[in-house]
Amino acid sequence: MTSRNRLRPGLRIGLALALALALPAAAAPADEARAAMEETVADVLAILRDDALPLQTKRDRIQKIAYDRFDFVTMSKLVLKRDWKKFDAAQQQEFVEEFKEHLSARYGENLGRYEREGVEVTSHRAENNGDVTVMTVIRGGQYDGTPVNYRLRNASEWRVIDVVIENVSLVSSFRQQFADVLAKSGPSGVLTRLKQRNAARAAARSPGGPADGG
Amino acid sequence: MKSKGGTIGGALAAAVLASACSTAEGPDPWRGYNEPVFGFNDGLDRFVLGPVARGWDFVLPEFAVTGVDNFFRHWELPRTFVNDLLQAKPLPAGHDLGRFLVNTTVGVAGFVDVASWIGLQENYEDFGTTFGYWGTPAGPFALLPVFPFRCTVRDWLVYPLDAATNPLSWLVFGIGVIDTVNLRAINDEQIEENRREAIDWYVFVRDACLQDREGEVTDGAEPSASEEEDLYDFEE
Repeated sequence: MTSRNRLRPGLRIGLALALALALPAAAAPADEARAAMEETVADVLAILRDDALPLQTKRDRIQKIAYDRFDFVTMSKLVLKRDWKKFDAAQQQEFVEEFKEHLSARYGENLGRYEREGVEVTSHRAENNGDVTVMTVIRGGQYDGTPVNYRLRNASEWRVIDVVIENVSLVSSFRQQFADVLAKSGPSGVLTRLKQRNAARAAARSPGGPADGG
Repeated sequence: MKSKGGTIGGALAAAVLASACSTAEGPDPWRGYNEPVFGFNDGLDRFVLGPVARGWDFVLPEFAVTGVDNFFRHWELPRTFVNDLLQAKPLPAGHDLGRFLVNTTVGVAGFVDVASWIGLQENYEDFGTTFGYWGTPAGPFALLPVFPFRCTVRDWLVYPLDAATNPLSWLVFGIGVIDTVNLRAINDEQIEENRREAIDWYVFVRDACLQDREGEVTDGAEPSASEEEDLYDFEE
């Protein structure tokens, strides 16, 4: 033990130097964002590929990773755009929570269909406003070749603010869908609609409902 | 890029496909007409096409469904090639020609996608993307009853050109029905899930179609500054 302890200071300095040398290269914001996304993809794939884990455990762990990596507050603001201000503080918070549940349940449903597909991070692009888009492609399986782009924004850390699957932006899709409901029935109408969808899904999933896809 | 044989796209999204057109009144000035047509097509999808497709999927082994999809995507390549050239894209044109030669021969008339295994991935162009590429706007969102392949005025107008450059349409009238059923089968889970979960199904489909076509025109290039700002900025 002692000899190993004695080595430690040297190791630490070595590490610090290595990091100092490595950092300038990795510090370009776009590279940072890409690295973050690569890590997330690797973590998620590792969970998906672990055959020892039951589906529910996989779902829970992936949900946790997604909650850390996705910025649901910014996503909500982007989806509602100008209408965000029409929601009072409590409604805003409620929207973020329901929207988060809606998204994660939908992603969760898809997890049950996982059939050993891979995800390849292919490239990344720094956007004009400081965001970074990380491009990925699904490899193998039914959706082989499907491009999935993640747009990340840096507010203390890089987090996803939009997912663009085969050209279709999630933010745009939800913005368009909510626009009508908002025009007709305002913030409370939007919240009612979101809650209905979430409740219907929860009911379908409860015991006696359809199998959860796994 | 994955062609319409792809994912969320698929049969109904093909029922749904189009490109973005931002006019003062938004992308859908003809909504009063489109929405009833959508309702009709959606009914056909739910009660006829969907069940038929699930039957098809039940009867055919998975490799057959994939093979049929490969076959139909393959014979779209001559059209893609012509439109690569019309868009002055020599590299994709060479790529697609290579893909066509490999899959016609080694890939048994296109049923097996050998080219993808050797790195020649799928690519898709048609006359709609060519006109779009050279600046023709998509025009309003526009659906036609029964025929779910297009969703903008521009894409409908070039439809005869697209059909004329697909060799399969010269050979067997109506063979596209098989493609439609097969695509619907491949995308069944996604379509049913989206229909069930959408906040607003009509708007979901419209937006997916318009965005998808816009993306096919721009090949996923960086969006313009105004689009960027519209989509990704918000006032605190």
